[in-house]
Amino acid sequence: MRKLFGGLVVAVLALSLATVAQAQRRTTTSAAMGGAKHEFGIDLGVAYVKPSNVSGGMSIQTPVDVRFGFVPRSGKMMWEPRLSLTFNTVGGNTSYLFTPQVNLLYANTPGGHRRGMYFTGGAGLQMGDLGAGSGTAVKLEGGIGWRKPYESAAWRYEVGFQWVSSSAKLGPFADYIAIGGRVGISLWH
Amino acid sequence: MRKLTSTLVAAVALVALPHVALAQRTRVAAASGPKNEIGVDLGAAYSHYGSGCTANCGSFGVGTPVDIRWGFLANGPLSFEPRFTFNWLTGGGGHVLSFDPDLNVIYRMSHATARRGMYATGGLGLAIASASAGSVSNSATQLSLNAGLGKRIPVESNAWRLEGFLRYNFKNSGKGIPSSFNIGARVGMSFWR
Repeated sequence: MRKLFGGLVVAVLALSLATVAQAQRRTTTSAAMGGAKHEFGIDLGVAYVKPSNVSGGMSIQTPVDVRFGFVPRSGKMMWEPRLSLTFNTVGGNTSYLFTPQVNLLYANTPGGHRRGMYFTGGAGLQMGDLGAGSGTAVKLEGGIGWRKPYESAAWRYEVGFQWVSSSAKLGPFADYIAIGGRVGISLWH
Repeated sequence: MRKLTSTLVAAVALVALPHVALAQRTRVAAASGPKNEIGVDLGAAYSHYGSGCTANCGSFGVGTPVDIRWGFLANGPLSFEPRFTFNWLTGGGGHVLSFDPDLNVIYRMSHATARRGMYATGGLGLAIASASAGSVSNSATQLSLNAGLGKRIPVESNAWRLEGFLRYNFKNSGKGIPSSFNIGARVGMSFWR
């Protein structure tokens, strides 16, 4: 009987030890997942675009741009650069459009930067040369968004407005306001 | 004594139960693994127009994001990767539309996995364009074939992906679109989910 008790106690201890070790490992893994450094995403954008002095229209586009967010270790604010580039040269004529911008995301829920609602505001530039000389316009935007976890990724929805200042050289890529949203997927690393 | 024995047996059973559940969950997780490889790239290409081109037949372009690539992982060496872009703009009674879907097959070279190493790829694509202004409208479709050789280089939980490619765009005589070829490279990041 004493042997039986001894065996059972050893079995309980052995199993408990493994459970504790496993629990520690799972904690570490979760921390690693939660401790992602970057949020990367691609979106489909839908907007009503109203150029100055011209009737407005709808725009649907994917991919809109590349967004690459820097996830902070703590805190509710996060920086997210977004950009797109198109450059082409034919027979000595070069045209390009470069749209860098930086957004600030403020997480408004306990889910932090992985889930829940957030507010965002950003500023950027529309820099380009469409063949009639180079021009630059300023872009400002603001919006509200949500992240909805989807396995190891998350769907991200954002609605907001955008204003782009005038630039005669940038044609349809300047001097407009847009109201719309973007739907995409976010992945972390 | 009997109470003590049954308490100990119950304790052993309780402690063992999570192990069984955890083992099952681990097996399920390993079996499911990541399902998709998602990425965007910076691309650069030299393009040359063939049939019907008389002047300035070459061009060079750089852009990002090139398209959205959404790969479906498979257990075998072959996997499928759709790639696409879509742009649609209306206003003033007209519209402009471009839709470029591609379907590529990716073949992992020996010793490569879905997350690292060399691969070869080939695909079929369409470039669909449509535009209208007032009562005038036009649309055209161009078929293309592409092939490439690439490499995935792991970096933490994701990977850099480099690919050199060739693309041949067939001419569309009915719409007056010349044939052309592109030779270039794309560099980007892949994420798995």
